[in-house]
Amino acid sequence: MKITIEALSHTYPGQPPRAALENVSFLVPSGQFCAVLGPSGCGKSTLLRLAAGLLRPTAGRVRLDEAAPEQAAAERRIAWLAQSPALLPWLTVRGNVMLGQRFARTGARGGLQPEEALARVGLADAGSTYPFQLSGGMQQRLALARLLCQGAEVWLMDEPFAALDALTRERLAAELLGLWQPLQPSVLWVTHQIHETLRLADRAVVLGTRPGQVVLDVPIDLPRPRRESAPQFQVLVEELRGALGLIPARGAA
Amino acid sequence: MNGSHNSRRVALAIVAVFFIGWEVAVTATHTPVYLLPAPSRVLQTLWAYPGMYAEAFVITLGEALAGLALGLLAGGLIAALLTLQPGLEGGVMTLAILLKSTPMVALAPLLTLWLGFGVLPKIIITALLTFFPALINLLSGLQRPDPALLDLFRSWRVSRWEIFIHLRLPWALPYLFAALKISAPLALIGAVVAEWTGASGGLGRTMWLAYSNLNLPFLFAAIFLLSAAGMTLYWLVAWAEQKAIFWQGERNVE
Repeated sequence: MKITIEALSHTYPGQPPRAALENVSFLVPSGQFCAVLGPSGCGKSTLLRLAAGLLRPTAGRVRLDEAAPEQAAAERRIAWLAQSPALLPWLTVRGNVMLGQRFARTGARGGLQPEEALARVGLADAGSTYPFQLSGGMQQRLALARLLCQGAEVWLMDEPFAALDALTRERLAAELLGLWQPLQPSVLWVTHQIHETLRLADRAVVLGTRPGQVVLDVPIDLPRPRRESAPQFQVLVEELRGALGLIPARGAA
Repeated sequence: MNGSHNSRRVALAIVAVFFIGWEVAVTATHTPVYLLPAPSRVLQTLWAYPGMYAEAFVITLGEALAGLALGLLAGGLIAALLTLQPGLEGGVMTLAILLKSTPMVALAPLLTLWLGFGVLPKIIITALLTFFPALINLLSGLQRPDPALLDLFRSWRVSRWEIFIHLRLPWALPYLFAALKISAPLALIGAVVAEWTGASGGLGRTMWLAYSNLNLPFLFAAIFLLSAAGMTLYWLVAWAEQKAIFWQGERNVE
């Protein structure tokens, strides 16, 4: 499912109104893993909420194939994963995954059965435990299992591993890649981590400071698994750092 | 486990010190019984009239529990209505606050006048007293689930009713227990205040009769029973809460 973002702007009402995004356009082809990278407050989460139909844009539009986000969501073609694993604490691990299946698209292709999804994320033996008995990393794995059951064609992910420690984050990112590759849904992945972007994504769209505008759109044509020591990886790191304003311009005091 | 055992021991010790101190103070100062009876004297009174106190206690407890159930039901239904129809909140809450601000001591004799000396006015007064904490707490729980969970449900485009059933209702369960912890002891007070203004039975009537005759051991015996019942109700609610919301982990309401 391709994601088309056309001249998208969003301003939050208030005194004074707060412009979060301004005239953002790009297209994510079906099956692409696209990272949206930017500093805090650049409107990248707003962009994701607009794509999920959780917000309505003040100008421009988002299309998932030809459908509006609200329609695609109603057809259960979108899966959402945020920084908080958003688990229902009163349901068991299996119950949480089954909830994903319950609200999944009917007849969804590629949607896994709860037991299989739990096995894929390494929680096969934890089905009858409760979320409070799981570590932060395991909770996020459970959220991933729920997402796998939905069989959605678009994964919208808002820094899903940001609250985890660095080691768990790296491990989960690698696992996510392993889950994504055979299914190939289109992914819009919001992050502020340069290395994470380069390890995971097919492409990086960099947004500048508020109101967010696209300052760089670069493909990441590196073979997987990617090595940070590869010269091309380092070149891209520098390019993204430059786009994010982390490298002072030459001649600056 | 050790911690809770210790805190229970400390609580018992504090209660014991309080009663022993009271006993010693009354005995040492020769305080007349019509001003303040010693705890031993109060217990003797209870022991001497078990049937009378048991009968009065059952009436008061019945009124309190019935009123509590009615208050919770009304508060819960209104909280659910306001969650599903937020447009009504301003109007309904104004009425609820108006009701809450009306002194029950003024309302109780009126209800007795209109509905007689039976249990019905007592149940209504108790329901009016317990309704507000139930409404406020349940409304908080129903209206404010974790925003991340609300986002998830909204990303699924499920109906408002499904969000209510699968998310808001279970989310409000800890808030229901918070309401019960306030309302359960309040229900006993409601029933007694209502009985005080005119009743054919119950601990409130016993207290009123004892007070009229300055028979303080009788009055304190009823107070002892009420305090014990209030504490027992609170503990029962806390115990049920632990059993029902085992999944809460570290999260705490209030």
